[in-house]
Parts: sequence; structure tokens; C-alpha cells
Amino acid sequence: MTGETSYKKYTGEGLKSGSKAWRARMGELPESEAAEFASRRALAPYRPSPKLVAAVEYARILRRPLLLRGAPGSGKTRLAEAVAYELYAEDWESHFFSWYIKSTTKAREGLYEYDHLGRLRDIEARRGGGDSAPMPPKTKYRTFGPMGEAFQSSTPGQPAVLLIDEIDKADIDFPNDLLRELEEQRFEIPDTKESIKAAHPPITIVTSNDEKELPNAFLRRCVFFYIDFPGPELLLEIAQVNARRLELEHQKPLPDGWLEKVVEQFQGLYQRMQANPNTEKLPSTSELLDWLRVLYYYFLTGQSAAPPLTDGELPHAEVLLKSLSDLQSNRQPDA
Amino acid sequence: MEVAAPFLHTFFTRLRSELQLPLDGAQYADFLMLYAAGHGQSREGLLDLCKALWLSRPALAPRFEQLFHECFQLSTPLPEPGVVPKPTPKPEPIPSPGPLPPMPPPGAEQNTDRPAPNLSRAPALADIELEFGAGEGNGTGSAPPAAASILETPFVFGDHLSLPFRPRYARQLWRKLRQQRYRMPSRQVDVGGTVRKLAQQGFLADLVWEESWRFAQRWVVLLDVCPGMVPFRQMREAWVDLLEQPDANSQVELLYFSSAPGQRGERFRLFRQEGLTQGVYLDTLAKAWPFGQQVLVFSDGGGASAGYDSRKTAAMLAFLNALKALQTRLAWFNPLPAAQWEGTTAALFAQAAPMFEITETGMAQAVRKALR
Repeated sequence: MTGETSYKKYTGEGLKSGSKAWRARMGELPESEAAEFASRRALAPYRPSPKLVAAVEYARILRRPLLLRGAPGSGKTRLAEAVAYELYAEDWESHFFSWYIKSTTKAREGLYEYDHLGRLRDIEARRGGGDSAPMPPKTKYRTFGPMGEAFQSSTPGQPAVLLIDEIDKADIDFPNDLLRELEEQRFEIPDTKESIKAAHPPITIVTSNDEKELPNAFLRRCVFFYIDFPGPELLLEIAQVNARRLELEHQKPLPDGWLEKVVEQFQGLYQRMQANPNTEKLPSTSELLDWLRVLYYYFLTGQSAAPPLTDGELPHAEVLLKSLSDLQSNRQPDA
Repeated sequence: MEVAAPFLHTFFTRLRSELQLPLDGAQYADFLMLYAAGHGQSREGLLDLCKALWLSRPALAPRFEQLFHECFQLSTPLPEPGVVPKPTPKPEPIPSPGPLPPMPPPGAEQNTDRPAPNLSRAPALADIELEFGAGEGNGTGSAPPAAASILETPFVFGDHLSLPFRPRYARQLWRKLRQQRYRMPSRQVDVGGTVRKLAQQGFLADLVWEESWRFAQRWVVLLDVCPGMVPFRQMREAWVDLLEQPDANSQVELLYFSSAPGQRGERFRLFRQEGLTQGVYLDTLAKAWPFGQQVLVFSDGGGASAGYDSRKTAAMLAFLNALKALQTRLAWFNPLPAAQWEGTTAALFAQAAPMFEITETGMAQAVRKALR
């Protein structure tokens, strides 16, 4: 199984209430203790569906990467951070390794890079007599990439969380170049004759926007999950945990029933746009949260004393609708 | 292995043979391991578990779920949760892709949308001979009854026996098309003709070349390789194989695109490799095309996903217009039955270009109406 006699499962609930980190977030810790957490980056709440939580568990048990697909803004990238955050609380950043793929990224860059030029420069400096210090060891010129670091950091009790983001951006051969590393959790560095092996496989989460088809050899090593647009209940829950955070941060609660109305209006918009064949881009969860923040800002600054939602308008529609034609046809809900 | 057999093993095998999912024994063993650990105990949970492990192409989700429920109907109760399989749960050897699972006996209850073939309707070979003068329509169901085939079941994927056309029939069809002859100048001087021309004009402006019959046929085949086309891969390969029958008289040039050929400015880009590499612009290709170049498109036109992407739709329409402007003879072959085009972008494209089903009727009509 996971190779761990007992391990902390990812439940999708975020920080455990009552934990020190949770109390720090809630402002319940004395100032002296809270200072420890003040400098650390806290994440916005993340609410995965139970099926997604199960998929993380499958990947962990099978020691396979979890390949996440879904519309942009559906929360693919944020899952990896949320897993690390739940498992390691405020210390999550030391267990989290992210590798953001570009079109030019090569597989080796995620494992290690070797500074050949630096070494040559040092050799030349000594050859000319300019530097009498002994040559540094070869390993001095080697730096690990995110995957290499995750392999070294991961232990049975504390597996690292590795995010390989937007793998489909890279060259078509890129996923195939990682097959052995993903399968055996080890790699060699010929320049230093080192062999790096993970003491325990990291929890690897790979995201893809499906812009390119991934090779079968890579796919067969993955556990799959497609993040669909959340249902009404989950959507409201996502909005609630994020609104709660805003309220705590700014100490100004929202009126009762306001959030439900926001979510209802957003869902109405989503359904109308889904039914319209001319829609260019459907709003995603990420846009809902942006909209929520904007609405809260206007509420907070008093620019709208009462909740600004009415049945006849869609306020700040620019936050939700990203193309001109969508904006023109959906600014008025009745349009 | 006995843990989830036979239902899940049947399901797994059908995923391989019907959806062409590249599954192997290790993935079946993964399932057994998770099932033994207590996962996927309800019907819905089991489906989610199978999807997480085996559904590598999200576009296939509806068909995946349909197959799951079909197979589940045949299932026997699963053992208690947490039952660990025998110590070495070696997966059974996976049969090679191709053969479909045996059909249930007549009368057996099976929740399937696919009607059993009616063998009594099997046409005689004479019935399937091409009659180019018969029938009208665009391959969408108004075909003469004689040309209808029991094999016109485009949703059956698997080996050649389950293709929606008989390879022999299609081979005959393409051969007939290849046998069209054209009179073209040869490299031999027509001495008599040259002398006659000299006598008529009083001076020798140019030599007269002998004409000869040529069969030269060059087909440009554009294949859609977007993820939604994965279920039709075997059908596509069989179809292309038949087009590519060795023949000195014809050439087939395969080009690939995904969903809609990419557009850069006014130039449309296609690819020589299936992995969408070795790009080539349409206008560059077209320089070598003769008047009336035959262009065959193989795509579902977005019909399988039933989604709508205005950008891709506009790009495809622009591409079809560009092909028309090049004076090509164009035929679009859609692996989906015509009944399923309605309400999808495929119906839109069918108005812009002649679109045909990949059935015997559809192919015959394509040859008669669009390619000749």
C-alpha cells in the first residue's frame, strides 16, 4: 500500500479546528504565539468534492501521480497546495514543491541542473594561477529541480507534495521523459555519478488543460480525475468558506442570506450561458471567488451600504465574463 | 482474480476492445488492490474507482459509464468489502484487442441500446454492387433500401467485423473511383499531328504531344486527431487502410489536424504527423494540387462531444471556405450516424461541405455526388 504504517489522510477539510495554526488563523492565539505564524503564507480555503478526495487517496495508495483535468479556474493547481496545507498546516511550504511547465521545459530541469559553465570558469581561474583555493567538489555545481527536491524531502512519515502544473504545455515527449522517474522514484546524475532515490514517493499531482493529448505510456501510470463544475451545494460551501475568511480578515460580517443570493445569481448565469451556444467562456469557480471578493470590497468600503444585488442587474459583471460578446449578452440577467 | 470477476473483467475487456483504452494487467491489479482495501463498495463508488483508474480520456466518459452500467446488469454480488484477494493476484492475460465479448443468448436481459443484428436482412452480394445512378440525399438515411446494410451500426467499435462497412465493399468503391480515366499529354511526340499542325499554320510553333489515358488520382485525406476522435481510431485506420491499397494509379497524402485546422493570419496549418508535428500550410500544399483536387475529411465535426466552441467552429467554417475557394472536390466523412449530427456543430458543417456517414451508403454517395 502506501508503505506507511500509519499516515495522515487527506480529508479535504483543510486545517483541523483547534490546531495551533487554525487558532492563529481565527485570531484565537495570544500575540506572542501568533507572531510565529504571522510571516507564513496562509492559503485560501479549498473545498474538494468527496470524489476528488478519494482520487487523492487512490494515488497515494498506488504511488502513482494524480492527473487532474478540468476547465481553467476549476481549482486543479490549488489542490496540490491544499493537500500540503492540510497535511502540514502552516509549515506546508517546506513540504510543497511546484514545477510550472512551459513550452520550453525539459524533463531534466525538474530533476537537476548542472552548472558546467561555472565549473569551467573555476577550472580556468585555477589554471591561470588566479585562484589558489582547491577546486570545489563537483556536487557544488549541481542544483536540484522541484522533482529532485521532492524526492529528497519525502519520507514515509512526511511525504512531500509535488505539483507538476500544466504538463500539456511542454513538448509531446516531455511526459515520456519522466516515466522512469515517476515509476521508480529515482534518477541518476551522470556529472556527479550520484543516484538520487526517494525514501518515499511524494504525493504527485499533475495538471493538464488537455491542449495536447498525453502519451499512453504516461497515462497508464496515472490515476485520473476530471474536475467538473461543482454542484449547487458544493458551490455554496466553497463560497461560504471563502466569505468566512473575508469576514474574519476584515471583521465585518455579511448580512444573512446575502451569500446564498450571490451563489444563486452566479448559478443562474452559469446555466444560461451553458445553454447558449454562442457563449465563448463559461465562468468558473475561480471567477465566482473573484466576484465575491469584489462584491465584499464594495460592501466593506461602504460604497454600497446594502448588499448590491438586485434581480435586475449583474453588478461588476466584468469580473465574471471574460469576453466582450459574453459581457454584452449577459450583463442583464433577463437578456 | 475471482474478487470482481466476471463483471469487472468483462467491463475491463470491453473498455479495451470497444473504447480502445490502452489498459493493461497492471491497471487491473491496481483496481484489485484498492478494492481489497475497501474502496468502491457501492455501485457509484465502484464506477468512480474505475474512472479514476481506467478513464484516461475524459471525452469517453459517457460511453464509459454506459458500458459500466451495461456490464453491471450482468454482475453477480460482489464479496464483502475488505476481502483480500489471493496472495499473488496476478492478472489474467488480457486478450488481444479485437474480439468483442460474446453476445448474450437470445432473450437474455441486457440493458443495451444496440439492437442485435438482424441476420435475416443480410443483403446478397448483388445488392451491394454500386449503382451510381440510384438514390439521392447526402448519406443521411434517404438511401435506397438495397444499399442499406446490417453493418451500418456506426457505434460498434472493435475489429473489422464490427465496422459500419464491409472492407470488401469499400475496397471496390475506392477502386472504381481510382479507375476514372483522364486524357493527359504524354512525353511522346505525335509526329503525324505535328506535321499536320505545321502544314496548317505554315510554321512550327510547338510540338504536338501524344495524348494518353491516365488514372492519376491523388487523394488528400485530412484526419481529425482531437481527443474526442479516439473512439473512432480503429474505424479511421481501417478506412485509411482501404484508401491506401497498393495501386500504381493513386497516391494518398495523409494530413492531420485537431478539431479545426489552426489559423495564423490567413493561412491554415495542417500537420504531416499524427502527433501534430511537421506543420504545413494549406496554401503551400495547394500549389501542387490540380484543379478539382479530391479532399477527404475524416472528423466527427464536434458531434461526439456535442459541445460548442465558437472559435473552433468559425475556424472550421473558414477552412472549408478556403478549400472551396481552391476548387477542390471535397467530401467529409463523419463516423457518427447522421441522426446524431442534429443540434451539434456537425450539422452546421454539413451545410458548408458535403458530409457523409461512414457507411456503405454514405461512401457510395460521396463518390457519386462529391468526388467524381
